[in-house]
Amino acid sequence: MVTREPNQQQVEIVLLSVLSEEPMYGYAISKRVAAGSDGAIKLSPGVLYPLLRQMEKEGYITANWETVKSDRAEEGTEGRKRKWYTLSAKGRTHLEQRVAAHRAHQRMIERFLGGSGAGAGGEEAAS
Amino acid sequence: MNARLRRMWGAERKAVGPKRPEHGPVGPCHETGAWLDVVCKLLRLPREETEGIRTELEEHLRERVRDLMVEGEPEEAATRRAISELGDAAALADRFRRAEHTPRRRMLMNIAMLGMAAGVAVAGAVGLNKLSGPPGASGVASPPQVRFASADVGEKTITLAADATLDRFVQELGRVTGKGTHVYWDSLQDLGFDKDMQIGVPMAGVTIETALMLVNERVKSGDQKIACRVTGDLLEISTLHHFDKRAMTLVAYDMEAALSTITAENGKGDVSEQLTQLIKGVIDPEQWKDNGGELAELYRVGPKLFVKAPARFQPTVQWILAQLGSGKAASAAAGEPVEKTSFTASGDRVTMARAGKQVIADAIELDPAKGRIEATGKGVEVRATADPSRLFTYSITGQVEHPGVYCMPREGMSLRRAIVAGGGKFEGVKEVVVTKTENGLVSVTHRVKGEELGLAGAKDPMLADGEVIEVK
Repeated sequence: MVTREPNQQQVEIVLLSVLSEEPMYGYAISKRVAAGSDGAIKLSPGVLYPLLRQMEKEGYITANWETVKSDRAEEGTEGRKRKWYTLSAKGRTHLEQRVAAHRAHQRMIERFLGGSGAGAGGEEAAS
Repeated sequence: MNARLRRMWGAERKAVGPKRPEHGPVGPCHETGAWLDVVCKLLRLPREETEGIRTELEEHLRERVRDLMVEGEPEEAATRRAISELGDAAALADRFRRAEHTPRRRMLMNIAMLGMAAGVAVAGAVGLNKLSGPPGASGVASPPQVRFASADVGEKTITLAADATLDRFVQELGRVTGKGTHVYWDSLQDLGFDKDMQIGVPMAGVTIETALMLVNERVKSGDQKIACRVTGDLLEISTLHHFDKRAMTLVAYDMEAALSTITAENGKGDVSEQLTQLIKGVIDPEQWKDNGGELAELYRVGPKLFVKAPARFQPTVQWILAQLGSGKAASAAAGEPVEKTSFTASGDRVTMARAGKQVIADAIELDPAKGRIEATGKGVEVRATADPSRLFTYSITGQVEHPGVYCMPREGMSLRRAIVAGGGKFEGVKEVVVTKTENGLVSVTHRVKGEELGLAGAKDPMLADGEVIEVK
């Protein structure tokens, strides 16, 4: 299986899509993306976390800290902190726009692919 | 968590919020802590931000190491691998720092991509219309350009040496226009326009419009520009944004013709979304609220498009809709051959189809002025002649009930008739200005005083294709 690092535009649309399903924290997002792409997309954490931060700054996602307390935590101690991300209304709109743009772009490419493929057929018909 | 893992990360520590944790002194935890220390030093961000990033990265490393150990990897190897996956500490810190400062730049990049994608889709869909016609051909137009000076003073000329200060420059603007000046220095200085800065280029008889453009080029202030407007006997000098906020307008457009054009050729997806993205992508993208700006908004209600934006945006919205509307006229009004043989076009390439087979045209003849398109390919021929009158449009905006883009009737259209057709009245109108855009330059073709409109025998010029009427 070919694995590759997608570009930032692609990563962003993937992250927004994943977060449109449910709120998640960073590590869970990376696992979800890997699982959802059968391992084809591997998000480097060095790319993932700065991008999440950037999207948070832009208001596409919101973040809140949650305390994670294990069963074995000592009495009176607070748990670890985990940062959860949620898609905002602005992020949802942005995702819709990106999806529309992506599909429009795809359709354009298909027009050319279809044209060249069908062109050969046309020549057959003409001959 | 098993004992080995608990030992690695220590017992659950006391923590309040994303504060910096205490780090274990030895083993893999020490290695992780040391690496995080390096990243945090390189971040050079406020303490609270730094601690938030550290806590999140630490949590990631904790989980990653745990997973690797569950898969059977030894603790130290798992730690090293998890850290190596995060990459070089300096590069990571750099990416975090850039994330703090690049939202706007990235936003514009995204907008450009969205606008381009929508533009490509729409332009591709409309086929052989004015957007893709040859430069200089009749009917090919560019959208109205941004004007830094009011039309009534923009053509006056100014002469100054390159070492003249900006303060001297604005005084000269007042002198040549014969008006008192009011300069909003606070707004201008925020953008880097200081009183004492030299204009830097010699100006010998250049128009005020050009002079402002030259000053704007000298001060790289992004989308913010210096501009001037006449208000009564006063020449106000401030930022374009300042004047835009004053000149907000709400205009309703009929999208039906444009949507039909795109749907007829493309037929898939949310075409009105493509159209609105195109508008938001090409007209001052950074000003639209959807793009993070603060001025412009648009709403779609059925076939209507409501655009609340600075007045200078509206002619370009009209221009875009006019291009698409004309595209429809060219194909929908085409004659019988189109029904028998469908065709799509992009740039100089025409694809024709008959009986499900497609060929690329060998030769294309395009005469938009006469509304005629001829293309021939192997075994297929297209001859489409549109009703020429359907190809010509004019637009009306301002103080009328029905602003928008109108098809020119066969017999032509006079200015006064166009105002009436647009739901305008002659009473209370200060002035009517008709402009035309050619080769990217906007020029005033007619200017009629309000009091002259209602007079019998007053001038009533005939409109030309693509002209924009502004009723003030």
